[in-house]
Amino acid sequence: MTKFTINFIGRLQEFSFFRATRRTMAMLMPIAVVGSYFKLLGDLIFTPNGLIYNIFNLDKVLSDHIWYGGSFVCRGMVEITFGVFGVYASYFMARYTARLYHKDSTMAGLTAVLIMLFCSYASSSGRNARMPFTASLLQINAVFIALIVGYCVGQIFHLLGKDFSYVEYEGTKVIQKRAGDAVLPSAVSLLLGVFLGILIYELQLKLLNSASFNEIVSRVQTTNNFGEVLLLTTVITFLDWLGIGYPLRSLTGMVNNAFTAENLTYTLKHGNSWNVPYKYLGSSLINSYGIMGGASVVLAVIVLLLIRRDNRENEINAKINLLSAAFGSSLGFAVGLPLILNPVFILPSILIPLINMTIAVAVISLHIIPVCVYQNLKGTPGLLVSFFGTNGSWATLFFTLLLFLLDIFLLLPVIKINEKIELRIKNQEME
Amino acid sequence: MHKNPNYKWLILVIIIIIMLAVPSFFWMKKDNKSRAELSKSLLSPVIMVPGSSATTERFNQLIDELNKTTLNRHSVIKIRVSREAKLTYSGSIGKNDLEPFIIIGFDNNKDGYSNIKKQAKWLNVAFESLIQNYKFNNFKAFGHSNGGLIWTYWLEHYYSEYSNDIKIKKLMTLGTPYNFTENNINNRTQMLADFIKKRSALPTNLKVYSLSGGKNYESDGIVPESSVAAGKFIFQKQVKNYTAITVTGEKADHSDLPQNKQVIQAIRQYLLKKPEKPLKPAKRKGNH
Repeated sequence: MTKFTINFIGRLQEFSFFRATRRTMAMLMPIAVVGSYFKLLGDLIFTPNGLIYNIFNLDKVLSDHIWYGGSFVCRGMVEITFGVFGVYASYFMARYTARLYHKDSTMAGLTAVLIMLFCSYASSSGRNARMPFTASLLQINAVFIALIVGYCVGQIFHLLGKDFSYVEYEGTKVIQKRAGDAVLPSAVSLLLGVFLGILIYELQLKLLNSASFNEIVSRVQTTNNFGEVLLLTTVITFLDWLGIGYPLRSLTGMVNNAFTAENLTYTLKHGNSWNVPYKYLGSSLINSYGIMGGASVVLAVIVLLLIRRDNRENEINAKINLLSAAFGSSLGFAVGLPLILNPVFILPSILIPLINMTIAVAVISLHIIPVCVYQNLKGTPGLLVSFFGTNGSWATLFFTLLLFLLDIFLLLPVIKINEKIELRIKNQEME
Repeated sequence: MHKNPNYKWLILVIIIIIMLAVPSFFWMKKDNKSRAELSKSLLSPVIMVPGSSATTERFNQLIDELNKTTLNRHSVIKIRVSREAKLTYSGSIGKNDLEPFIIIGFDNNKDGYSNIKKQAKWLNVAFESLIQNYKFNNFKAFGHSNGGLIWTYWLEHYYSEYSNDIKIKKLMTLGTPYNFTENNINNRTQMLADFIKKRSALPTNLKVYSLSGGKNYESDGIVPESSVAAGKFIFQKQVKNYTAITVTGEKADHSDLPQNKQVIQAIRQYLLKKPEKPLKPAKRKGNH
């Protein structure tokens, strides 16, 4: 069985799309790590509902100058890393795809960037006069689109481009020849890109900005039907694995609607949350037990990698992302390993949240732990989200820690398979 | 077996989490407790702001009149706000009084748009201090003359900070010159234009009552009727409902309005909580 799985996934990994994705992600890991640490810093200190900002009363301690300065730096750094991640991703994706076929990869990368920017311009044109580009298409939360664009451009270069080999000394003449050689594939790609842009503009296609997923998100926020919650969670975690993180991201922030308010009002009146009107509210379950603020899958994988120390690169990766992932800023690692678009992790990324939520619902309905109703401050460590969400119920904390141990246990075979597959890839690439 | 050097990183992260978790735990307990107190509170004060050149003593007569007919006397708190935004409290809330009057007056009580902006800022300082001292989750606002302008400015610029926890139920303004002393409604002053521009910030569940005095057919002697009526451009179609009332007869000029019988009647009827009705046996419906 294990052997079959390894063979199957190994085959899958050999597809040019996954090969190029792996390389792209490896290249972008540093950018994602910088982004996730600045996001963490911003969440903890430089937002009015940040954890450290509130508990240490920084409102009084920090001067306005410092606070606004820090907030500016954090927002800016997140904007230039996560905000325009699609630009980088499309560039490297086109580059590594073209390189698989020994084509001129730099020109392919540039073409992909042009197309991404044009599509982003098309989707924002005429709507928001203040911002020239809606970042939505370029966001890390929509990285799947950028990868697809990059891959398509790479394939066009594969079909139409001339073979290319690097030369040591690149004089102007050589570069001019390169540009000349790239005219055909670049022009075809751009033409298709313009066509895509026109479609987006004319049909007002809101490719992957949060509005497209509003329906799913609002359903999961307002449903109290556990079957529906499971179904929607499957969709949302699958999209997240694919590199479309919008739905998940909008659930893990502050969810504030009539349902959460009713639960909170009940709790404040009665002093406990055992019998709130909506016990199985989707958003609360996903956030506290399904994703556990990034602890259920990401942190568990990091801990396993650190304990097993099988692969040096992965170990370093896990080490630098440990702190940010522990506080719920997990994108750095999702790009770095990668978890995104990595066939090994598709099943665990979907199943573990479902298992966690099912156990949590059983335990809630048995009245062993109360319902999470309180809002968390930003930057709350993932493992403590449910503890603070229940006004400090020790049973809940204990339960969450057990759940985390279970997740680690469940992920152990996955990590073992991953080790074998990585070894296989390494051997293949050596050949 | 070698010792795994990564364990020290894991332990370090656990220590950091615990070091943050302990103060977070106490902060959270405190925060949730005060939220619970807030949501259980039955207190619903009436916060009053006098007009230009008037002090916290402006409503004494009005309150005396109101208290004459109520079973439970409304207690009164007065807050003076200095130019440096220092607060001076006087008075206290009676033990069983759930609807106290809180009067906020400013040392700089001059007229003019720039002063109204300042006064709104001072009002906000006083309001912030009030919600820390007295837990309440809803209140009613009353403003005489420029007091109504200060409330409107405060609602458009400051209220959103509190709107999650504290609801303003009603706003009553009395002879409030939304277009200053301008007679012609087509000449909008800067202030009115600003109010209209930011009207979407006004809470949609607010009930607004705008009372004006009719000393003659045009004005209450000081404020033109059309200036009071300009309030509709700010509130109508934005708040839950907007009611305009004109009182005439005796004591209908601008500075007498707070002592006017009809005004006092309107306050009792629209602004204050209705006295609880005596319990009647529920009518039995059903089959004969």
